[in-house]
Amino acid sequence: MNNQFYKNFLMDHFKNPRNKKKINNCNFSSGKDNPACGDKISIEGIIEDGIIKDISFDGSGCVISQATASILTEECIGKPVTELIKLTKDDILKMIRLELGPNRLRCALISLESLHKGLQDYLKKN
Amino acid sequence: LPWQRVVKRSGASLKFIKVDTETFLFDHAGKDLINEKTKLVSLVHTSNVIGHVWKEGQLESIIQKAHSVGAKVLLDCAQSIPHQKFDVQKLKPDFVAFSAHKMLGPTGVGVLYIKKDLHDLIEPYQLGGSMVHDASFNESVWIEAPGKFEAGTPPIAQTICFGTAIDFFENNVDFNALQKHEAKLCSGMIDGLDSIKQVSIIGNKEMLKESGHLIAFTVDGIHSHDVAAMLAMENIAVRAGHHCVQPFAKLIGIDSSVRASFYMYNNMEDVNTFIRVLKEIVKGF
Repeated sequence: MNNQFYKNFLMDHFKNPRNKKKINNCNFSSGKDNPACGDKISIEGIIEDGIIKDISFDGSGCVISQATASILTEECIGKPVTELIKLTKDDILKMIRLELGPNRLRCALISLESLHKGLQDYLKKN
Repeated sequence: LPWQRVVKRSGASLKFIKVDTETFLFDHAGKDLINEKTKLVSLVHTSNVIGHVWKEGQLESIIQKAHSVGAKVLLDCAQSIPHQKFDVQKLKPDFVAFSAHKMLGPTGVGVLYIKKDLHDLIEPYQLGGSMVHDASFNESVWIEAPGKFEAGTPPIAQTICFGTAIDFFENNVDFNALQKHEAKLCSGMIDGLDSIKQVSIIGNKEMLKESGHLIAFTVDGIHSHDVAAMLAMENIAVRAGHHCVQPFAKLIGIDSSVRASFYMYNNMEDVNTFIRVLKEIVKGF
């Protein structure tokens, strides 16, 4: 784990989360929680012509879970759903610039799981 | 978890000895839950979550009550054996379980003590090599305990290492001195933690100052996993989470806590470093 991460990049996203807002007229949404550690993430957004037009998250939990959600939502805007649905664990770790053990990995992946669930539900309906 | 499984299989019901959520003391009156329908009483000797230790006589009276109605008693000593001398002849539990990795030993092995007069009543929980006295096509006879409970190739290296760890205790550890040493560190730790207003200790401070060896706490506004990760950056190893007792965490309304455990290799300088680093974390977060 990079010694500086709590001071810099992730802390900035944790303290000043991007896209932590309410979106009106969203057409996809989902939520995930991890009762084992208390992390919660919900994601909602607007898809137009297969592209993420707007996206937001809400949640509570540790720095990694909340900062990752902030970073992931930034990555999503303007991207096609078909591309985002293919995002993997490794993509997330690249985004947050960390290597994590199995326990903290769950914190990092909760927002991706939530995003994928929301997108899959959207694709089923549309 | 094992008791939930037993209940599902047998149709028995599961009852819990309460923990006072203000004082963090086990309800000694829990022994009133024991009646002639009780089959097994499972007790934690020292709590791995809040460091609770039973007061003199409390455990004895629960075990006596259990035995008086014909119930068996299992003591989970995983958290206590590494810190205190324990005599099965004195407390007379029917079963005692503990792990090697909590007592300077390797992972993957532990001890299950079964009182001798129960050896023949208990069937092996798994089958494999080295446990058979005589096998034919339709019937088999097991060797005597403990062999019949040790099916298959054992973890040989771990068992040898575990033996060495036990020898180390026998030859080098004065448990009375160890307990005093740990309690002193706990006491210093509690005073230090109490000086940080964002910190809440999960446990009975008086008891821990007197005879504890671990302190669990939460930090207001910082998730326990983050506290642990930041402490780790300063080479301080703690555990964070619900410590495998999620129902208790739910009971007291937290999702996790940080747990610092002391042992023979810690000293007061470690406590002072811990408190200094934690203050920096709280200030910088």
